[in-house]
Amino acid sequence: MKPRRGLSEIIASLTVLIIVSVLGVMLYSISTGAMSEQQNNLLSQLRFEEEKARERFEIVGVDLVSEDAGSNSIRLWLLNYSNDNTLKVTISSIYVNSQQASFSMTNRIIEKNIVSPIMVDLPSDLVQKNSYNILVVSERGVGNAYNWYYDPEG
Amino acid sequence: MRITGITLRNRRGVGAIIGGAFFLLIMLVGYMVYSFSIQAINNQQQVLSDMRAYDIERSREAFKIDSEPELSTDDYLIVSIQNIGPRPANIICIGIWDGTKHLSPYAYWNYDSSSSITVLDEKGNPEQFTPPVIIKSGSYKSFKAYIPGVSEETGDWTYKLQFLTDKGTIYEVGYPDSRFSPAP
Repeated sequence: MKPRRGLSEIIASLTVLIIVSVLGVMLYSISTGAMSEQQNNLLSQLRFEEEKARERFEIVGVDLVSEDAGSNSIRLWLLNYSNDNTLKVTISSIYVNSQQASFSMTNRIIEKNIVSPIMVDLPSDLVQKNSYNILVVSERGVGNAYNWYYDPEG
Repeated sequence: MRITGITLRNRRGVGAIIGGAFFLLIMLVGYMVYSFSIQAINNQQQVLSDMRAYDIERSREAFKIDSEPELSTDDYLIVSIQNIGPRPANIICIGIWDGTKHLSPYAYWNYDSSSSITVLDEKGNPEQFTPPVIIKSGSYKSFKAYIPGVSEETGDWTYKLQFLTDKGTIYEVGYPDSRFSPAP
């Protein structure tokens, strides 16, 4: 009987086929996953840009929360008039005279066609006959500025 | 010569087929990327175009008071406004501000449901204020806003009515002076 040397052609071919198939499947699944993630990221980025372009809101008024001296809280009235009925505006930051102000987290999401109040604590004391430049920024990066002159005597 | 049962003569042209398949694959992927990016650019252009039209429509919205605001003895402030813009305007909210103080507005219809605002049509028939109140181009609507105790006010006092549209236009009418429209 002839001694067996190495593997037969069939076994070698099958082994190579299995290795190539496994590697192929792995490569395919990795690349599919990566491409799908890339595509999702790209689509969500495009959606974000679209929503940002459609987002519109405005500060329609500012008032005092209390007449008490020493109170430094004000209330902003915001209108969401975005060009999309489902688009909600979420307020992320408020600046008063270029200083970041803290604000109430309730009502920070404004529905379309709704005027919603949001309480803001001024970073410094409220001074009569003083002008306050208020900037409201949404989570999508859209801003709206309002110049409020505080004169209790009207 | 034989390699795993296939002669070299029979393998002629196989490389070209594989190359062609790869070429087609690359072209297909390239076309898919191209069409995706074109679609994305078109979509962005469409959104920007929509928003330009939206902002132009907003800038064209205009109102004027049809007659001087009146105060009834039963605490109603009556204001008639006319749409002088080219398109119908949708009033989605009315705010009543105490202009004398810088305190809370008396009401915003969609915030304070106790506010009492009645809409009068051109024949003077009262309607429930159910936003949006549509004012056609050239026509007017009257609004009766109930402000408790307003008819007994004395001294230097002012009220301001804000009319807000769905395009974000803010039209303000003051009382007693209808020209009054300071920052609230």
